[in-house]
Amino acid sequence: MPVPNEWTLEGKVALITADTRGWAPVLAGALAEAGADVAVAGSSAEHVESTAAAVRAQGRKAATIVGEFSGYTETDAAVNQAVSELGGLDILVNASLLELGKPTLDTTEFEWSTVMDANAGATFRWSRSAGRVMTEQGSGHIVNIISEMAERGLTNHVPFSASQAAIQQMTRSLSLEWGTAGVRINCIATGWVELNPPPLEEQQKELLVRYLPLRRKGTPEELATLLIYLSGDFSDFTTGQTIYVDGGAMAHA
Amino acid sequence: MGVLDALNLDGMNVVITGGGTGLGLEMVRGMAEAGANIAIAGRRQGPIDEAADMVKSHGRKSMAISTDVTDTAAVNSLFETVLAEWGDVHVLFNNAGIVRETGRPPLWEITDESWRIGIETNLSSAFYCARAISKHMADRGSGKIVNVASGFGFRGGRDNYMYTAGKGGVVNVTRAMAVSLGRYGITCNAIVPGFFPTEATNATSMSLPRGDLIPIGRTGFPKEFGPVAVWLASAASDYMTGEMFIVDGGGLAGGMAPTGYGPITELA
Repeated sequence: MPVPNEWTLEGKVALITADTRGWAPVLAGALAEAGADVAVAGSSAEHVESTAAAVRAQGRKAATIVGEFSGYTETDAAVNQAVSELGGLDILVNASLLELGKPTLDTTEFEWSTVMDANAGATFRWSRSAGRVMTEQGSGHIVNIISEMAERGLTNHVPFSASQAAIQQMTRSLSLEWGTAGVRINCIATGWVELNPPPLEEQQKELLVRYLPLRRKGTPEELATLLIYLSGDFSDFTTGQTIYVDGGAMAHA
Repeated sequence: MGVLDALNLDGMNVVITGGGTGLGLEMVRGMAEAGANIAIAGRRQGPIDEAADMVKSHGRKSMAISTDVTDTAAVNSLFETVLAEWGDVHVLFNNAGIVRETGRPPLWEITDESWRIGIETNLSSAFYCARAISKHMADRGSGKIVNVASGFGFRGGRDNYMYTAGKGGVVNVTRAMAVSLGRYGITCNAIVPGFFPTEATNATSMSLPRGDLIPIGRTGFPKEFGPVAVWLASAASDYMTGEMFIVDGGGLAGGMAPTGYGPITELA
């Protein structure tokens, strides 16, 4: 599909983090379709590879980096690898999230700290490592793909929703800190999005889906063009914002 | 002087619209107990007369003034009357509102008249009242305006246009008044009720969500409104302005899913 001029990421290099939900191939494929080369980082070799394959399928270059990324040394090294293999870094997409749905009284200290670190901690590390390059070159876009539980509470999701709010607030503060350095940081907050949701008739048997204004779940594909917009120079006056893609859930009482 | 002395409303003159029934009546009761003199405006004379008698039974001054709050001449006359009698108005409660007139028509069946009345009653009335008394408050260098918004001022309500739009307007006119009137010593805040079954809501076909869809498991009791009104009318809230005081059983904290819905997922 031809991409309109304003929506091109031609000549840009992106780094995306991939988890095991299967969204990363869709999102990375969209960046590649818009013209970007994409480095993929994650702890699951299988998901990193399938994401890279989606990039190559669009005729773009991909780099793969498998690791745990639990400290700056590793995220710095990954950013350096992306820069040396693909020739720069213009876009960081923090698309990896660790979910946990569990009653609070059963939640262990390990689970709390694991969820907070995998979400808020990792987003901070990746942003800091990419930000070294971006602030130096005076341009860059960071897009954090989060859940709208950043703004709305949900039963059995105390650590997870807290971790999402942490990322949202990090986005606001970082957009101020790096605004004059030319780096833009925004969030796409999703409602009930899943890869390959069941057919409509099946979905609507669920109380949750009947509750949503659009009466259906969303798909990662529906985040793709917004991701391209927030990754490109044409969104340069947008920063620190959260844009919700949620079938109307945020509007609901 | 103890900390609770700041809640004393002795000698404070309050004007409240829609004060004869429902949440308004409970706010009147609370403020009368705390010592305020209260002028009560409402459409129907009967309920506001009863409310005024209740205020007087607490040993305070009261007036019941039948007023159409969408009529600016009537609104201006309301405040002229109160000022002529009492000399001062310290606090204005913009509480008048209508959920809807009849039924829940789809968007394409709502008449100009119905839209106009809904917006006039739920939003414009607060503006008309504030406009009528703000100069008096500014000249004195102090005053409090309290608007009654709704959770629907923040979230969409199905087939509920004039209420939702009007209350959304109330939320932001509260902020505009706070930002604009602060320099004259006037604060402006809003109370944001969740679901409170009252005469107004029961009299319509509005279906309240079941209590189990509200996080604390029940709709609100009107009597839970008195203390909030007292606090916002009193010196205890003097440094608060432009803010929303949400009393909704937790409703606005959720909204992503029906309350109680919480899928279980293990760490990947």
